Amino acid sequence: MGTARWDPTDWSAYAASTTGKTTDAVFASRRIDKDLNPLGVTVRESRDSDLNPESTAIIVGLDVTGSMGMIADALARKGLGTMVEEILARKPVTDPHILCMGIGDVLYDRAPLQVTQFEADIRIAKQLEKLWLEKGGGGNSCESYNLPWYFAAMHTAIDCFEKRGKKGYLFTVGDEEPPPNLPAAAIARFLGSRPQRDFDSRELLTLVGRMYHVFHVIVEEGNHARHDPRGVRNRWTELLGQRVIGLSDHTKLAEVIVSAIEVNEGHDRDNVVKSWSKKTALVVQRAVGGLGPARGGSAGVVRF
Amino acid sequence: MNDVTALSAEALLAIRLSEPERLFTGDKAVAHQEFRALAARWHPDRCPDAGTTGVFQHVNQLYDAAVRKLRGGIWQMPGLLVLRATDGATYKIRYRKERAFELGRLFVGGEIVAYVVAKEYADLFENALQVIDRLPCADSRMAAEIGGYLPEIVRHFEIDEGWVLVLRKTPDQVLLRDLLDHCGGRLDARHVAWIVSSLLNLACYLDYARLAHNAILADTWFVSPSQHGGALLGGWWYAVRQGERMQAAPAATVQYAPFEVMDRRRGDIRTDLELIRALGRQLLGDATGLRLEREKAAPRPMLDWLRLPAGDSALRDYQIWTNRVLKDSFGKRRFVKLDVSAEDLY
Repeated sequence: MGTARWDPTDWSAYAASTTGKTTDAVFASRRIDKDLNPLGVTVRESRDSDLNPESTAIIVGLDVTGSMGMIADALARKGLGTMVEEILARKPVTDPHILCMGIGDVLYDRAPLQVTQFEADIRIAKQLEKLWLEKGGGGNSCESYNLPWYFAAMHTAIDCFEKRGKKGYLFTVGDEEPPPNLPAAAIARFLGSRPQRDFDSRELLTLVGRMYHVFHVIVEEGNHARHDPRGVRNRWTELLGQRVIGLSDHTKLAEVIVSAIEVNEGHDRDNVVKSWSKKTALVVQRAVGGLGPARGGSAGVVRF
Repeated sequence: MNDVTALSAEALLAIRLSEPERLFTGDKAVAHQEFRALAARWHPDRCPDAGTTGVFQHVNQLYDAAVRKLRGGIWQMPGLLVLRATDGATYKIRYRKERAFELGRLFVGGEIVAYVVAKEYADLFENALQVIDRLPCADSRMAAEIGGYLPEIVRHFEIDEGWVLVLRKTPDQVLLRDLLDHCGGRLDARHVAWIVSSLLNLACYLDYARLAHNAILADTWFVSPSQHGGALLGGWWYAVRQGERMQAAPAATVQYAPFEVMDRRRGDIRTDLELIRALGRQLLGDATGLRLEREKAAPRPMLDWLRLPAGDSALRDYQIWTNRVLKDSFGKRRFVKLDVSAEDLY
């Protein structure tokens, strides 16, 4: 997938079609859509094409439990358009191919993972609309943010890495803490593959980190993050270090993701912040203030 | 003194500026005489033929390059490296293959390997000497078992351009990268299996020694195709005790080490275990592991093991590998001959 090219006029028409609709009207699915069900999926592919000769895989995994549907809603109405257009304009990476995920809880939800295809055009918005906002989750203080890690590591094939050794990007977005582990039984139940053992989240991070730059965006307006902001932040920082991003305004998710990619690719952080309008810059400043450029390359020595 | 005046303009212009050794003798005074002879032959005032100026300029540049090399203490001819140490001693190293590596250059000989490390990495060079010097062995049995896997320093010295470390190797050992290149970028899964077994055996020793090597790569591991053995001769620049702060790492290590280790930058055996898995995948033809399953590059249990993350115990990893993964992948253990020798490669 990802063989078409982004067209802003398609997006304008699409965005206009969502105006005035409620979230429930935009996201009309009341069960998992078969196109988004990861059960039995061998691989989701991000491949180069004539229109996108140097594709970059970008995964955005959205918490769809409880009140977190507001994130998907904001992304569908405006965010996706902003994200793609700003990446194309600023060029921190080439030819973005975007895959969206819906994230729930493997212990409580019927669809703890939903997965679109990698797309480069308006089709990503149409697939995002198919997400079932299950509004589930449980009382365990975490959602299964590590299931997307496993899926990305074992069930995606991306040309940016396969052909050019350039990692893709994976952002999970939500208000709860990271789960400590991912049971093999959950992988078998929801993905269909049968690993020999359970994995703790650190192992999964190592696994997915081979192929993707991994970030987590904490939705600070979310119930859990508001209730225990320091606890949520600390638990994520223990796992991800500086790649934890605080999002103070959920309508600015796209701008924050684009900025994080820019900083990770070596763009000057202050210049990135200043490049946005005043209100957005405040949100971005707070979000990417602790980020630095990715270390390493394909050759040479890296000094610490 | 070489008879340099007999060379034609074309022959002189064909000599690359990086190879002044092809024109001049490796002695400052003699090289100067040779340059004077060339100047007498090619100076535009003495030779008004068309193109003379270009030839003379090229000869000048080659002489400058020769002087720089002689000052730096390195004079390299095909198969022979002459190194002048800062203490005045001269060392001649016969080599079969030269390779660039991230800190300098590597020369593979019959029974030695020489690493020439650039001056700016003096701290890493010193670290390697200290780590190699302190590699522990519990008793003579362990020394006999593991000694062959470990580096033995023949000599080390300083030259103006940097530092030189000469290590012993057996004549049958070849750099894994050279073997991989010779085999077209991929090895049969059965050969990858014995290489991984050797590496895991070594990882158990590193864990015993409480070390993290941090650079188990195709460019640091030497294999003996005939003996199914190996030696970790390169990469000791980055080795630290487990829990100690890392000073540096090759880019490949940063790529494959556990996320948490790279974040904290502390020595951790998991880095070596992850690098062994990455090397296994690379030997099968794809370090990313993405294509291996599609191409059925190895039996499923082996592929799963190579793709999934390592645990935190080298010994447990080794036991699972030998007792489960190898058995499930290949059945009963048997020796599989790899029909390649050092002579085929070098």
